[in-house]
Amino acid sequence: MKCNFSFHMYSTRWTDEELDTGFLFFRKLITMIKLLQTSVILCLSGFLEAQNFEYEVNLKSVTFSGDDMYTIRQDDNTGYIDDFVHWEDDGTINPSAFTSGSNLKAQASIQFVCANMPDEIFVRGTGPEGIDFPAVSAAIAGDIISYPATNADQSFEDDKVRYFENFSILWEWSIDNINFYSAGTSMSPIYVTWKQAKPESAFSGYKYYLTLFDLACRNADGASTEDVFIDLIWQDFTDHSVFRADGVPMQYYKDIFSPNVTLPNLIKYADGECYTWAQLFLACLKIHGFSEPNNYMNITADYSSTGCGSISRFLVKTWNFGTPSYDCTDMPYVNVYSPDYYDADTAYIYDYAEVTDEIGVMGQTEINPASSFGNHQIAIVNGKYYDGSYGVLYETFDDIKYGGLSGWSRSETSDEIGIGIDVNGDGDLDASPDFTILRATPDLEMADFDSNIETW
Amino acid sequence: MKNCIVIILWFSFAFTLKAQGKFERKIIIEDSTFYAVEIIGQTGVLWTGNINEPMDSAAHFALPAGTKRRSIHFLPFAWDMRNDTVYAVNFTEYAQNERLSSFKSIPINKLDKFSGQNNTKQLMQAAFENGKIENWPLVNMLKKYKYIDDLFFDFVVTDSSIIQFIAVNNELTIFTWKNEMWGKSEIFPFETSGFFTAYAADNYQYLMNAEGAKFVYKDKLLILSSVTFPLEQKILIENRDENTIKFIDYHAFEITDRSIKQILEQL
Repeated sequence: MKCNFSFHMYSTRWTDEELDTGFLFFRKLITMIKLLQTSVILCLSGFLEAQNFEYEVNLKSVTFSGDDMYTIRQDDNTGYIDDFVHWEDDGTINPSAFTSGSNLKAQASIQFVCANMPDEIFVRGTGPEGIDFPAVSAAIAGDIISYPATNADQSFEDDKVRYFENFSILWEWSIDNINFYSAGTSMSPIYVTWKQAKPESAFSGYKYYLTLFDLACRNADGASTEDVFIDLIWQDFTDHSVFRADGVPMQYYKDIFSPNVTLPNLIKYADGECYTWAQLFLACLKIHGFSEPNNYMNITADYSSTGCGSISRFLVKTWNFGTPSYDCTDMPYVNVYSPDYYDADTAYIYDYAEVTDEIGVMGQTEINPASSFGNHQIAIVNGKYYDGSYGVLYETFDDIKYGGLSGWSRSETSDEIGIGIDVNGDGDLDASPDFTILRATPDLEMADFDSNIETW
Repeated sequence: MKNCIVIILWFSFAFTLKAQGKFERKIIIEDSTFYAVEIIGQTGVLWTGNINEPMDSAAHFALPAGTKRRSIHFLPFAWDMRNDTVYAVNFTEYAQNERLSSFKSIPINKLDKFSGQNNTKQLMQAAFENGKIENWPLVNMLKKYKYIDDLFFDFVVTDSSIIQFIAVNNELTIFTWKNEMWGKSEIFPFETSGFFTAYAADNYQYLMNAEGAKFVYKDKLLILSSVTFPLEQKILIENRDENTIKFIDYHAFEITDRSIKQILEQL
């Protein structure tokens, strides 16, 4: 940035009235003083006039700090977001996060190129919503002037979630602390949490990942009560498009047998099982300092006894029940898993199937996610059941069964003789090899869900 | 200031992780061979090697079983080994898991070599295979106790039975698998502030609770000694060659370039 400046000259002039006064000595003394003053001013003006040329001013970097600033982790869990610089003129932008009510500190570095560097330069910053940084005499070293880490003259509002996609600060400089000139504008994202975030924990996988701040604050910007930010964050889950901070959509079972069962893996790989989605929602609330005991529910079939064995699994909508073989009356449908069933990518691999998976309940960024389970995981918040995997909120526990299921099932080891079906089509029933089968029934009244509750 | 916080957080995290040691619960020595299980991710890796050779030279096998690493209270992997078969309760967090098939018995010679990373196959096998002994004790206890922040379990395998100990809400129930069916004990009061470990010796089953109090199970649960040490700082060495049971500091096995024998002799 180049700026032109000019300075006014002082002058001294004698009047006739002054020469006619009787106080000649005093007048002479005054004259002497004025002459001396004029000489000094002339010298100074000569210095200043010598600087009446183009200055080059460039905002180089800005760094935020503060007692309540979070150390944010990279989403791939390889380290931390750089908090030594939050904006740099080479294009570097790093987000930062703070607790509401805290005071943001900023320091800035400005390159100031001129032939004769002034002895003193003032710098100030004008941020959004009255969060300004007062004019301070900056340190000068070579052609770099440094605005010291200085508190904003206004804190973030208490108990209010904020998300500044671009926390923009106009940085200005001045020689006389009166007339200020632009040095440039810094912009970087700033997240402000409702309360102090719950501390990280070693085993839960809950850590201060960037995506957690992004989801928690971006969605709940402006919220000042628990109910509001819980609802606003949840709304993001309901459209089945939850994005990582870098814009990558996170999926529920991109891989039908996804091995990602922890929150760090969901964020890192943008794909995960129900465990991770329940944890993601709860983690967003923890970022705002909200957490309740008994907030994490594991759901299983209740192992109701049938003539075919106990019911241990369930099928989430939608499964098409075709023609049953009635190998077993209570659970008349049979599927036979392929020996390489665990290599399935986006669809189940059966060597024989009487019940087939169809598009049903949409999951996060996945129109037809995995839907045959031994258990499922959801979050409980304020007595309501939040199923983050599907973005569905249930008011009562019973709603889960009737809202989500196509049927009940169980798995067991068997063979062709055991199920009375010639699976390999060789014209007879073989006693070997063993294979894993799925027995199923569409009768939802044959079992119920059990649940166990933990604290996450 | 912030850097200090980061350092403190790092040390807290590191300490928490270290507090459970490298291996899960115990190391078994039998026929001059040691057996230990490390959890990587959620699933187990069985180490087995000669007690006179550096532990690092041990063979590593992928166990199709494991445990979650998430509970408020740490619950180490429950496993035992008898007649060249590994027994385990699979308690991974995986949506294909069924509680009923969570009790696993896997011949060691059926295990795959550990490839260096966990994979879907290992989790799927943990969900679907090797579960002939149905784990009704766990199913029923989880039906009985809805809130399970303080759920802990372990088991021992003898030549003729399996004895599974499950504690929740300061209550312990003991289940015995014998003659192809599970029997159930009365309920015993039992502190559930942390995990406990079970082991067999002298034809009885013993429990060491979180505070290091020792119990023996002889149809009744009898306390043998009161608080001795925090169990989370210890690892059980079950030396079946010498018929000895020792609880030693888990730190002893952080460096694995020495043999088990050397490590134990230097204690």
